[in-house]
Amino acid sequence: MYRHKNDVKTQMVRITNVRMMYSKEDGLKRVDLAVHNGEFVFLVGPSGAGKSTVLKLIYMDVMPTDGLVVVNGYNSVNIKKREIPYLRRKIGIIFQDFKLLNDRSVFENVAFTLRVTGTKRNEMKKKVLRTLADVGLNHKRNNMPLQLSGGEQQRVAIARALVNEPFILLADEPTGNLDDEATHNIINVLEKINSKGTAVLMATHDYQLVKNMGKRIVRIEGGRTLN
Amino acid sequence: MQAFIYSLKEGLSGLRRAKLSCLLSITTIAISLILIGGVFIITLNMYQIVSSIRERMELEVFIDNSIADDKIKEIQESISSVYGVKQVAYISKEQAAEDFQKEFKLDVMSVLDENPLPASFRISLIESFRTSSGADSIVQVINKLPYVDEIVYHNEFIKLIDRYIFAAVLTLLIAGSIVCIGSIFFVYNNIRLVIFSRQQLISLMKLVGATPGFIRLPFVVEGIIQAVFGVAIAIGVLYGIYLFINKQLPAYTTLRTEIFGILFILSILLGVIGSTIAVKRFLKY
Repeated sequence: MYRHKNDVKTQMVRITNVRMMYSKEDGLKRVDLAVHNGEFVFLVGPSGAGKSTVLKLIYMDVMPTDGLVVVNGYNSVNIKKREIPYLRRKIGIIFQDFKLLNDRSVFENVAFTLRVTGTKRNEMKKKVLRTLADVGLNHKRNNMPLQLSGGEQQRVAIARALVNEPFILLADEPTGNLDDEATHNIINVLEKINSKGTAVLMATHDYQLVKNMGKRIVRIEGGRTLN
Repeated sequence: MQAFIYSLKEGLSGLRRAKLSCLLSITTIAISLILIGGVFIITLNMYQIVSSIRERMELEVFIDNSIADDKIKEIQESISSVYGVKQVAYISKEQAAEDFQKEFKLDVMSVLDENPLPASFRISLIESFRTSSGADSIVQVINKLPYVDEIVYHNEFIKLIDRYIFAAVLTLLIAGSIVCIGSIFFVYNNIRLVIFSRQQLISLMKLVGATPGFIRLPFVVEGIIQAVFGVAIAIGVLYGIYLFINKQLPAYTTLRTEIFGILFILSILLGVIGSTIAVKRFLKY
């Protein structure tokens, strides 16, 4: 897992010496993190340590006060606001609370990503069905989100994040609302996705859950990443 | 094209999903346009009534009784040449007696043995002179012409109209401005509420990489659709009120279709500008 350590070329995400101020208080004090092409990394730390902020830095929802964030060739110093949507099309994001549109079917929730990026109808249908099959939910494509279990809802969210074929999937406490069985199921899905080449960065407070998985673990505490 | 079709569908389904707030928006737009249209129509009708009163505004110039007939043409020409005079009609003594008989059913010759009514000129004015000061200025010039005995016109009445028209126009202008500003605020606020209720949708669109223009478009489409419904209701209501009043006072009411055109354009602008501004603050990246 550490084979890429010094190879900057394969670093799809690189956060270097980042400090981040939230209304005069340091949200992040010093964060260094690199995620390589196709890597699976856990970002582990207690609540309030700054995990979500690190993910937000990657999809450029927030910008660092000091330091540099480079993601897929875009960097936080030079990126123009109008370029941010195009960066996000290459990043998949899932959250603890799924953020599904409850008034649309499973199919429509997944298709949403492709619709807003102007994908053609035929291509869209193919991609949505294929991605739903990847997360094992093809048979529930016409259901509404609230008719599904928590684990299934999270898998819909994963499908929505993956349908645009991102280079990285950011997962912000994706198992926080799930029971043990669903949690393991989701981790399995994430591993499967990773095995097909998509990098995964998963933030979690649950060290016990990830310590034996043989993946790289980056710890964050009090706004600092620890090596 | 794909994006536009999506926006159209999304705009329509936005209306379907949030029926209540959409109904509220349409009602808001309709009420605003009824108020604005009402001010337009009242102003138009007031203008028409005042114009028709002013159109009938005449000066009556009485001339010396002893004047020879060959001078009359000369006087008529000099009155005609006064700037502000539109038409001059000569009313001879005989014509005056005839008019008197028609009006009072009484033969003036049989009562007095002779015709005491003087000959006169009836003068109509060009539009810009149909005011109290305009009439006054013409009277001053004509008064200086030879053989002019007396000039009669309803100066007090004209002054009254001028004064009230000024007050009425001022009132309508103020009322119209308040209604207009109120409507924009009303509609803007309502659209903002609708958009606020769909913050989750907007933040999700931002998250999956939709451009600001793409996010805005369904809301603008929705705004336009609501505006079209709103203006249709407003036009229906205004036309109904107009027909009702027209039945009672057919001579004094008028309506121009241009007003409906203006309302239509106004409603579209209200929809587009309102939704664009309202969605703007949620679009910051």
